[in-house]
Formats: sequence, C-alpha cells, structure tokens
Amino acid sequence: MVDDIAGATLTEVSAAIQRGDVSSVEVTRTCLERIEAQQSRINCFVSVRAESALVAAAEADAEISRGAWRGPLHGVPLAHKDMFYRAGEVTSFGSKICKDYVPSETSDVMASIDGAGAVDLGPLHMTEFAVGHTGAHEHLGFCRNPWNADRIPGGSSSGSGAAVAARLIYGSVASDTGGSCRLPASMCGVVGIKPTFGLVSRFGGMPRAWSLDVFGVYARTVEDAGVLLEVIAGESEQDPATYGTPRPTYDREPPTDLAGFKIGVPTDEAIFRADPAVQSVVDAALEELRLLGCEIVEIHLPDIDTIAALGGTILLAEAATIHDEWVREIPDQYAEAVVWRLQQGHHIPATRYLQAQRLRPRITKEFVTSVYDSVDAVLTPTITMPVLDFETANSFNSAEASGEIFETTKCTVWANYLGLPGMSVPCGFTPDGLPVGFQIVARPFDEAALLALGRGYQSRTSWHDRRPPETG
Amino acid sequence: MGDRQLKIDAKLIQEEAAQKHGILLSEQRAAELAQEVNRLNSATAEAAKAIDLNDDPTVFTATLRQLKR
Repeated sequence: MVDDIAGATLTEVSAAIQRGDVSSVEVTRTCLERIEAQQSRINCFVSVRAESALVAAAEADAEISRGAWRGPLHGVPLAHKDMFYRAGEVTSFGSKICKDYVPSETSDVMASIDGAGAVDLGPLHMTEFAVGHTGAHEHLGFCRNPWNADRIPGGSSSGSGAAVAARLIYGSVASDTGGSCRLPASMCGVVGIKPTFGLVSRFGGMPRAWSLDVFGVYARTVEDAGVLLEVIAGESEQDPATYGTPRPTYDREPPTDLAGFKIGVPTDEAIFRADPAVQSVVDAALEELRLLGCEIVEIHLPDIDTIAALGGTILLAEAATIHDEWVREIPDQYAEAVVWRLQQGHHIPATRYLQAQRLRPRITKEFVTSVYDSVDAVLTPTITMPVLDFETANSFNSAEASGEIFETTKCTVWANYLGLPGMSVPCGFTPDGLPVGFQIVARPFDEAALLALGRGYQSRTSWHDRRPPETG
Repeated sequence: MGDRQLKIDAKLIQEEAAQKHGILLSEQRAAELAQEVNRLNSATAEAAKAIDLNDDPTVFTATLRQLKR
C-alpha cells in the first residue's frame, strides 16, 4: 500500500500501480487536487489537462490490469517544460509570440515518455523562450519557489523545479543550455540532470542554442531521475548528435560504498567559492561522501573563464540567429529584458562564433584528459548564491544584467560548452530555509557515475524527503 | 596592437544594429551591448590564438565519444 501518495517517489508509486495497490486514476486525482490547491501560490503550470489526464490514467489502469505493464512510467503523472512538441497540441515556449504555435511533429522525448505510458498533466511554466533564470515572467506571471513564494525558483525550467518540489508531479523533462536543468533543481531542492550532449535526442524541442542545448530530467530522487533518463536517452535518426548512442540501463540500488571513487573539488575560488551559508552546506555534503569511501582531492580546472566566454559567444550568436526576424520585426512582443539579451548576439562576428566552435573539440579533449584522468567526478556548488527574493532578482538594471547572469550560471555553463553530464543533488538548506544543491560533473557519457554517487549520497541523507510548506 | 583593433565601441554597435539589422538603439543601450560583446569577443580572439589549421568544429560529437571511458 501507499499511505502517502503525494509523498511517494516515482519508483514507489510506480511499483504500487503495477501491483494494483493503488490505481493510476487515484494517483492522478491526488496530483490534480494538489495542483488545484497549489497553483495559485506557485504558478508552475501553464495549463492543466485534467480531463485528458484522467482518461489516460484509466487507460493505463486497464492495460496494467490485463498484464500489459509498459514499464516504470506506466500510469505515473508527469508534466514537462512547455517546449516539447506534440503534433497538433499548442506548445508556447513561455512566449506571447508563439502562444498559438501548433507543431506538426512530435518530439522524440515526448514520443518516448508517451510510449512509456506516463500520464501528462499539462505544460509547465518556463521563462520566455528559455531566456532568463529567475522565474519572473511578464506574460505568464511569476513562477514561485514552493519553499518560500517570495523567492525565485530559478530558470529557465522554473515550473519543472517548482512542480516536482511541491509534490504535484513525480518527474519532468526539461532543457539545459547553460544550467536550466540544474539551477532550478538546486533552488527548489530536487534532482536535475543535464546529460552528455548526444545522449538524448533534441528533435522536436524548442531551440535555445543548437550547439549547447540538451534535454534532461527532474525528479525528487536520483533513482527516479535515472528511471526517467533511461526512457528518453538513446539514438534517434532525427538527431545526428545521438548516432551510435545505445539506450542506457542504470543501476537502481545505492552502492554499498564508494571506495576508490575520486571526487575533484576545484581550487578556482573566484568561480566556485560560495556564499558562506551555501558553502557550509556543500562542505557537509563532501564530508558525507568522504564517509561513503570517496576520496576528495583538490583539482585545478583549466581555462574555466575562457570556457565560459566561449560558451557565451556560441549561445548569443545562435540565439540571435534563431530570433533574428522577430527581434527586428516585433520586438515589443518580447519582454524587454529578453529582447535585449537576444540583441547581443547580433554583434558577435561570424569569425568569433566559428572560432569558439573550432576550439570546442580541442579544449574538451584537453580538459577531459587533464581532469578526468585523475578524478571520476568534479563537485561544485550548483550556484554560489543563496536563493534570491524576486525584489532583489528583478532589481538589476540592463547594464548589470550580464554580470548577474554570469554570477548565476558560472558553476554550470562550462559543462554545456564541454558537452559533459552534470547533476544537481539537494544537500541541505541555508538558515532562511531555502534549498542548496551540489553539482557533480563527470566525463562524457558517464551518467552512471553521477547516478551512483547521487544514489550513495541519498542513501545516507534525507534532504530529498523534506517537503516544502503548502502555504506562505 | 590586437586589443585596440578588437574593441567595438558603442557608436559602431549603434551603426551595426541600424545598418545590418534595422534596429535603432539608444546610446546607453549600445554602450551596454558593447561592454558584453567586447568581453566575449576579446576572450574568444585570445583563445583563438591556439587554433591550428586542422581544428574542425564538426568533430565535436565524435570527440565526446572518443573520450567515453
């Protein structure tokens, strides 16, 4: 039996549905009731598809009862960032410009999730065209942090972090171009995985910057995140970056110990040293990992400032190209801060953009050889600042905005340029009750190492079991 | 010599926006854009000194696969 449906993990509720201890309809109704109670407070859904969700749940129950169980997502309520196409359904990217956009094709990730029998509860809030990192939104209203509604949930996948943390859904698919799967995960106290570039097909998802975009997952536990990642990963004929990528299978059990696992902690203090309230929590997490048998060593990450700038060059140039016509013709249809960010890329020369691209294989090879021949993973704070309130986050003027974006993404963006897999894991709270996450980054296609480390950590800690308040 | 040649000033940003993209920018906004654009362009130009004739951007995904353990 599942006594507390909302408190159960994806894996627990899935097992209960499979056994027949609880129906998918019951679980879906519980989620819908919780959404109804919480939506006005945290605003994490763009719209709720209650009717179609209950129909899908009833179909899942019928299939499972006749022995046609499809796997661990069958009958489990999920919801996803509003940027993945389903043929014939509106996908609006958190924008006014595309509020009625109806794609003619279905994304690979939604085809995989739907094929696995998950129940979809509706599109989730995201910052406009995935630009921005606070959850503030001129068109959709602010998405708010469930731990404190005056605080930001992070972005761009604001709704994914908030909805999973508030126990409204069991998991979510989102995107990460500079930190969007990891930053809201850290700020909302859940797990967020940015996979290796090329592990998950990008076909049928809104582009933010083609070279840096990856689609990843949110869940409450590392085990659940691994289940979701297994479903969406693997080769697709529609995304050449995935050619030759087998569908992975990940261990579910936590490792008994992590002896021999070597974690590198960067010595680059200007980038990775966090606010004391955050750093003390991350240091305590490192101590837990040491007790699990991990060896903790200091490591220098080469060219980390340059890597961030090269990633920024690619991001701005590609985003300006994607939005070129709209930025010129209908700039008033964007929020001012968004159009200003998009305009920056107009002034990156093509030669600079291509230099950043030409350097990418060389720098990645040098970085991976230098770092991952001596450690299995690099551990940093996911973000060095405590979770900001909206008033502070929105107070930066346009001249200050670039610096503030750098401060927010400086721990995450390098993994996008290098194509490396990264994961944010909740590891405690600042004194004001807001979550803190640590980030671990591994060598290419070594998501198994991230998951093993994360499962081991969560087997010793209970931060992931803490639930946010439902008021305030 | 390089730094001076690589610096893009607010006036050039304004003219480039108007002439290449049909966008009218205020002086203040052009100055803000110049600051960020110069930071990225300078860092990229500096890093590009290490580029070899045979550095090919299209091998990135193949490089990731080669680096898989």
